[in-house]
Formats: sequence, C-alpha cells, structure tokens
Amino acid sequence: MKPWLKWLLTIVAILLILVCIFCCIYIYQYFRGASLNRSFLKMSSPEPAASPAEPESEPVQPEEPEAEPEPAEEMPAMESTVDFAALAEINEEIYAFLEIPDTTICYPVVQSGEDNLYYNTHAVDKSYYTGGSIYSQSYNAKTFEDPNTVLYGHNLRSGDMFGLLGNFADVDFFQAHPTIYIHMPDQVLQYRIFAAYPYSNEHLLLNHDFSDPAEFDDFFATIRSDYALSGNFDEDAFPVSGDRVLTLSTCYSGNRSMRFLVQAVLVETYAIQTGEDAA
Amino acid sequence: MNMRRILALLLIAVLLCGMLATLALASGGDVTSPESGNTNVIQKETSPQTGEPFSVGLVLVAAVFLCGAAAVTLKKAASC
Repeated sequence: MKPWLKWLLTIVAILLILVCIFCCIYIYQYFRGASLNRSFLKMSSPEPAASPAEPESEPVQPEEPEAEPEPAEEMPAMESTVDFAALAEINEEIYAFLEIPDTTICYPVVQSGEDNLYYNTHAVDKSYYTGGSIYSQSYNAKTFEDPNTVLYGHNLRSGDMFGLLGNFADVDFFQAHPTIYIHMPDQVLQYRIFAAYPYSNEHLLLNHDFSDPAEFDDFFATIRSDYALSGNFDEDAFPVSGDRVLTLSTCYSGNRSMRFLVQAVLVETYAIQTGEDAA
Repeated sequence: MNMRRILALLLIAVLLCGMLATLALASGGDVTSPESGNTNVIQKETSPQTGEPFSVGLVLVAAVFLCGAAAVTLKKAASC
C-alpha cells in the first residue's frame, strides 16, 4: 500500500483518539459533578416541615432573647441541618441553601462576584462541570430581600440540579410539593409555590422592574391570565406588590427559546434554632 | 472504476446545485428587507441557557465507537 495512505490513516487514528479523550474528560467531569451534588442531599433537613408546618400553634422561641437581635424575638424558630461552615470551606461564594422537601432539589446557592455566567458551567467547588450550579446573578442581592430573586439551574436529563422542575407541570406533583426553603446562615425562609409554567427566554430582571409596584402587579396579573392553560397556579398564593418572590428558572426541555419557571412567595421567616436553644 | 466516476459526477452535481441555490439567493439585490432602515429594534436580554448540551449516554457511546474506530484505523495503518 502507498506510504501516504499509512500517514493518512495514522493522522485519522490520532484525531479519533483525541476526540475519544475529550469524550472521556466530559464523562469524568459529568459524574464528578453529579457525585458532588449528591453529597448535599445529606444536608437537607431530615424533617423539614416538622417545625415550621404549624408555626402559629407552637412556635419554638429562642430562650435567650438578650443574645439575639430584636427581630429574632418575634420570629418562629426552626432547626437547620445545613452546615454553612463546611460549605464555606468548599466555596466562600455559597451564601444560601435551596431545599424543596421530598425532592432531590437540595443544593447550595452561589453567586459569582465577577462573572454572572460563571456558575452556569462550574460546580460549587469551582471545578468545570457542564451541569453548573444553582446560582443567582448580581442583579439580585444575596439577602433574598428583592421583590423577585431569580435562581438558575440546568435542566439535566438525570434529574439533577433543576431537572425535576419540569415535574411541577404535573398538577399532582405541583399540589404535593407546595413549599421551598431557603436556608441562610442566620435564618430560614419559607416560600409557598404559586406558579409553574413555561415562559419565554426573556431575562426577567433585565426586562421588568419588579421594584415598581405597578409593574410587579401587572406582571403577575399577565401571568395569571395568559398562562392559565399552560401552567399550574395556586390562585390563593399569588403575590401582590410588597411581597418577596423567588423564581426558579431552567430550560424548557427541547426548546432553547423557552424557560420553565417555578415561582413562590415568601410566607414565613424562621430564626435558626441551635442545639442550645432546643435544650 | 465506473462506479467511482458516477459517484464523483453525482457529488459534483450536488455541489453545483448547492452553489446555484446560494447564488440565486445572493443575487437577489432588488429585494429589500422589510426591516431595512429600521433602527428602532428592541432586542430583549435573554436569561442564561440552562439546557444540557450533550446526553452523557450519547457521549459514552461515542467514546466507545471512537475508541474502536481508532483501533481499527491504527491496525490498518500498521499493516500498510
């Protein structure tokens, strides 16, 4: 056979091997990221609804009010199993922990100080991961005090990250999972889910001024009327201006120009109950 | 040999057809876009893409296939 053919076949083989190595790296980072994500499941509260389910009936108050700031005295308390010290060792940009009870959606929440899309392709330990992290952008404060805080996550086929959000399109699932918890170092925020629907890919925070009460009310009135057929709504929980909304956003499977949104309104804020408080 | 010639001719014909279509579109200088001169275009900011670029299963299959193809190609090259 001709010598040039030997060279050609060798070059083709080398190219095939290089692409194969790329595939192996992709597979490695995928499973590494998935493994890291699963480790956070242990941090979710074993019985997240146990304390806060009936806060009015028997709220657990901190026993040392003089040690706490004034507002904490009025707050009901709940235990949080999220170890923020351990999370800070992984990444100092972790500032909250998202949990939807009875699902595998239990992830740290990060926000990059430099690049708003950094955590779209990086795990919470800052390693490259195509599944990304659950993250907010710098348009939102890290205190969840904005009228609308938007958290993004990938819609992974494995169900990791926000891969399960699409299940909220099912009315039974929507009704069975009405609560979202945001754990923070000093408090836990309880949200009630009021809407789950496919929406356009417009950037909510750059195209709407939710700090304007009229625009806030107008946006949710439009959602209520225009998406009634394609989404699941809890009419009783729809927010009004002044409420604090949490939006979970992920891609709508198979359509790059659509997003699937799950929105919830803040209903309760809990102080963290430490072991000493409980004793 | 005839088969090769036929295939080559077919390939050239396909390429020419493709070029003709491109030329036909490119030469339409008389047709102006309805948006021509419109400078008031509002381009909405979009939220981040959070889909999954590749299915890991497909990548796994591709890796196995590529590995096999590389082995066969190397074997063929060695026997030359």
